[in-house]
Amino acid sequence: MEAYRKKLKIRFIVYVILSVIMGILTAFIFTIITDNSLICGYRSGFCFSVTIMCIINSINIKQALSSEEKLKKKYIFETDERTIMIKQKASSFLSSFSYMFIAFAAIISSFFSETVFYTLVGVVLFIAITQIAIVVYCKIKY
Amino acid sequence: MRTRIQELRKAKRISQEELAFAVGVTRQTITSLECEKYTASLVLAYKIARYFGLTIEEVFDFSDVEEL
Repeated sequence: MEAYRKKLKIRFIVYVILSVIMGILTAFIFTIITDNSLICGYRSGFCFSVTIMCIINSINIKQALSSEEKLKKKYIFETDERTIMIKQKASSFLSSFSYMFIAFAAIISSFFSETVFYTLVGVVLFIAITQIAIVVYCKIKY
Repeated sequence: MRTRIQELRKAKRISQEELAFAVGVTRQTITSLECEKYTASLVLAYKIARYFGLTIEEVFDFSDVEEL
C-alpha cells in the first residue's frame, strides 16, 4: 500500500500542475480569442473540461490520502481484476471494429470530400500501425 | 467455475462487502464469483482460500476444467 500511496502523491502533484497550466490556458483562450466559431468553442470547452477534471481528480486523491480506509477503497477500485478485464475486453472489441467503421466512413466521405477521405484513411493506417507496434511490444515483454 | 465462497461466507457470517474488502476486490467481483459468471485469477483464488484458512482446491471446484 505504501508504493500506491507514493504513486498517488506523484499523481496529485501532476494533477495540480496540469490544472494550473490548463487554467491559465483556458483563461487565455476566453479573454484573448473572442472568435465565436465552433472550433474556438471546442478549444475553450476542451481546456475548461480538462481543468475541471484535473481539479476533481486532485481533490479525489487528496481525500483518498487522508485516511487508510479511503486509500484502500481507491486502491481496490483501481486494481479490481474483474473491472480491468471488462475494460480490456471493451477496448479490444472497440479497436477491432473501429477499423471497419472508419474505413466505411472513408468510403462514404470519398463521394463528398477528398480531404476527409485522406484524413480517415490516415486515421485507419495510424490505428493499424499503432496496434501492430503495441502487439509486438507486448509479445517481447511477456 | 463452481465455488464454495457463498457457503463459506455464510458459515463465517460475513457480507460480500467485508470479504471483498479483505481480499482487495470490489463487491461485484465477489457476486460474479458466487454466481459462477467470473473465474478468479490465481492470486485472487489464493487470497480467498487463505482468508477462509483453506486450500484453493477446497474453495474452487476444478472438476469442470477440461483436460487437453
